Amino acid sequence: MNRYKAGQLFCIICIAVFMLFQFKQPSDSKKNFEDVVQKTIEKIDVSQFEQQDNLAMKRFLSLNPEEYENIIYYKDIDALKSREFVIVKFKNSKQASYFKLNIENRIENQINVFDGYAQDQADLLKEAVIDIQSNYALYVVLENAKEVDNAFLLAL
Amino acid sequence: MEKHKQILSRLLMIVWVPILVVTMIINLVIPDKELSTIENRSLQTFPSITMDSILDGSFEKELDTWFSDQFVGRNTFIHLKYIMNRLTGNKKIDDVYIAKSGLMEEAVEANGNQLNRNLNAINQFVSLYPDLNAEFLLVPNAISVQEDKLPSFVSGNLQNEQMDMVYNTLNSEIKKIDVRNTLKEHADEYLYYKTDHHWTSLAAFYTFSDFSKQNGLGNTKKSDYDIYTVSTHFKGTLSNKTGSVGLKDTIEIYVPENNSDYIYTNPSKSIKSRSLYSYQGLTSKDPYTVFLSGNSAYSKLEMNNDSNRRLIVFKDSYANAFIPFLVPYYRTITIIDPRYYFEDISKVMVKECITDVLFLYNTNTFVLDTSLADVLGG
Amino acid sequence: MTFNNVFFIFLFLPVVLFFNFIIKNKILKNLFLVLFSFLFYAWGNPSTLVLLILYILFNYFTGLEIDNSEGKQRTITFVIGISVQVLVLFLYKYIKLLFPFLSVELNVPVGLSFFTFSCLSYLIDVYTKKSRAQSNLLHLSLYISFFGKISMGPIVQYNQMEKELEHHPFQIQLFCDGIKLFCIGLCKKAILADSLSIVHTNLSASSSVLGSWLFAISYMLQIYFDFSGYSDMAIGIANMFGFHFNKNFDHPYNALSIQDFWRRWHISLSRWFRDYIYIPLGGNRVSNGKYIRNIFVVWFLTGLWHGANWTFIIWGLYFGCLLLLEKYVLKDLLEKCPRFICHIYTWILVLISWVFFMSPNLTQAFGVLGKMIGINASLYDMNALFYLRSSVVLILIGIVFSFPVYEKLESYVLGRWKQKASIALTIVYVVVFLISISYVISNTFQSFLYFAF
Repeated sequence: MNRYKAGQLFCIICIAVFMLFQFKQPSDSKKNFEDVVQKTIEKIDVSQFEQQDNLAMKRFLSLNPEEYENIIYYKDIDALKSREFVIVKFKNSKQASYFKLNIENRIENQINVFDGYAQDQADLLKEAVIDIQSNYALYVVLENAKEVDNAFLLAL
Repeated sequence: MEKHKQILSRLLMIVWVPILVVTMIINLVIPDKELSTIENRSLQTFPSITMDSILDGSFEKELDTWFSDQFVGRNTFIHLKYIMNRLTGNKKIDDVYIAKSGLMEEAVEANGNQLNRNLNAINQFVSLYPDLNAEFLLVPNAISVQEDKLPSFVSGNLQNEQMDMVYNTLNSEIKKIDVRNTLKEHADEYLYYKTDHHWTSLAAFYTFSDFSKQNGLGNTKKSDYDIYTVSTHFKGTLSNKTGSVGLKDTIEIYVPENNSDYIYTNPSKSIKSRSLYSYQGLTSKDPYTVFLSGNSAYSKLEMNNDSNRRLIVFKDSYANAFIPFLVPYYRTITIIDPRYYFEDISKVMVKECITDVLFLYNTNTFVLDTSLADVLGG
Repeated sequence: MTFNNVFFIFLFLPVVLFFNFIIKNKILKNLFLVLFSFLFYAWGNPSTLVLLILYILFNYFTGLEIDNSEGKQRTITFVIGISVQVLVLFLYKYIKLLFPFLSVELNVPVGLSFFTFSCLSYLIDVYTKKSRAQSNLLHLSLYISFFGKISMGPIVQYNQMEKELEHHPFQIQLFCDGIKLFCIGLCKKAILADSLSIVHTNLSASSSVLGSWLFAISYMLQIYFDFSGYSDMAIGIANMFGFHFNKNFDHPYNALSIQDFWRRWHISLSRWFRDYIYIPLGGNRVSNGKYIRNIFVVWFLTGLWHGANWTFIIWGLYFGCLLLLEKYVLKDLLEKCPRFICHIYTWILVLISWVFFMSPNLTQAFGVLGKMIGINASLYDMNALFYLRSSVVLILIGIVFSFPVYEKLESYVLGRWKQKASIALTIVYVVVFLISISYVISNTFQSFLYFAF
């Protein structure tokens, strides 16, 4: 095989690999929910937050906690701060898009509330992270949201 | 002619290339601004460079925004676009109409579910306190009051229908204060700001006259008030949205001559003061916050008069200009903005011995509100 | 990155122009141009650059192998080359058409349809011996990735750009003409297309005859100014770097028939299909049956190229049918008709085609068409009247400038007042440029319509 053919073949293989990566969907994580939560919130100072009950989840996130296998929701103790985070384990992957939609609505509403009055809180919301990894998902509004997301991904 | 075509191109090049280069240099050299006064938002500063942000594209997006936000003469360009809109006869920019008297927000479509939820919550809440004097005041926006100033083929009908529906859904125990006719009588006066979505203190005054009559507090005249002009170049939210040119507003405050002494407490803004007006608010980027320092979850006015009525107000920002008129007639006024309030309101009702409740909203905000029902416990 | 963006206009472009101007060495000049094109392409989505580079390498090796072999080997290599790229295009864009249940979130590389067709053009030109295989990787990279045309065309055929790849020197008149064209394109996109798109979006819920006509007409104007504006900017940029690109639009709404329309609309695409599909299939030098088949194949593909939606396919086949109609039935009629009637005939048919093109599905398309002739619709509604009044100036300007009015006016003025006219017109161009910038700055969410391709 001459070098052009070899080059052609090499490229085809690379393109195929590239496409495979594009089409690959994240697979379910087999990790325990508590462990995932534990590792994810390592970087968060939990004393500034208050865990929210089912009523709060329905009220603020329009989510019914009963539908999910496991879900926790923490909000900043200070009502005038927008910081909050949610870690959820889905019962099935179809729940992901509904979850994402509701969280996006939550973010939009919150931005409307804080825009113009507490600009830094609104800015935090604009940097919010929603990360859906098949059967687990994370929503975080924090200054170090990306770090928390990384911890979350590692935990899975 | 061919030759002159070529000359045209060359002349253009001679001007265009320097414009490009000079603009580029100026943009890179001038320091970043943090805030845009005419858009009323924070401006993107030079983003931090991290491997992550480059790879996921966020660094590039922020760099783009940075360059655009910090562009030299950005404000001038925004005003230029506004002028172009006017010149081409465009009467609507985003959701703001360019009316004969100024800028007006459109009448928004209601969030049906939430609206019903809120109305039911109000009805339920009032029924929990049978001795309570409950009143509901929905303020129409400029679009339905000053209809003859609107551009052709626009009407405020949607708002009228919404308001009719709201008043009809509320229980009969709730006193409904409908100021539409009164305001329409004075439609040619300066009832709404030209550059902001709020109403003026004059409109609040006319509204209070209605409120006063309906509550047996007597007739009110302008002469009952000392009127002070606190700002003559207010440019509000609608000006921010459209980049308008040549429009500005005056803010007046109406201080009752028979005013009571009071203490204004606002825990979230750490305010304890003898005045509910805020000089800091007046000189901030939103001068409308001269009234009550803007919106807070909870604040309270305690008066030194011998009224035995204690009022709680559930409101949006329109009420901020109205509450000063109420001061002489109540012993205490507790002010709740449900968008920020997450406590248990029933405790407040008991602790502060509330005798009166007033719901005061403007229509555009009320039909989209998603917080009231939760606060009332609906 | 896109052209109607201040970062591009006032940072990227001047920097690249600077490097292009001061570097005199041809190889180095092209190297910088390619690297900047890569930067342009990777901007905001770095992973797709990987695919672009793989494509360049793939076409480089394939082209050389084709030139290096004969007979069956040659054909096999060629077919593999074509198939791989068509397959990738298919997977990215059309998988949902065949398997709608696949819920895959795909990151479709920007301009995939455009640069795939550029690559296919290269391979086909080499295979048909129209061009020699490009042995210089840098030159091939430049052809495929040049930022002036990668994201939205024009689809320049390899044989047309081949000669200029190695040597595209600075030519002052070409450079100046490029600037002028760029300014015209920016004005079309930023001022006209974006404003029309707002009118169009606000009429989408319209339930009246007036409203639906405005809805369709605003789109007809919007897409012309959007796409021809971008093409102007692309060609202008190419000129600034010493390349001659053919015009992509020639006042299509001035056409006298559907056949004429397609000689004026997205010229590079219709030429591509003509040269690489239609003519190889025999064109019109075959039996009537085969000719009709050729027409349908080409127009089916033209429609499909625009997107994975039945509306696009119907749009393409619709034109196929009309072209056959014009050839067999209406030919003499059209020649005898007064110009004005021909114009109206063309406008109505083109307008109908845009209704299909702009609708998300066939039901909605027929819905709009129905409303336009009064089915299920009132004569007018308040919203439509408001937008009519609000946008009448804009629409009239749009209609006027879709004809060659401006060019004729400019020529006349230059001919009459010569020197003074040049100066005055220069000022006009600069002012319009600044107004365009004001539109670009105030506006962060109007993306190009053809960007999705």
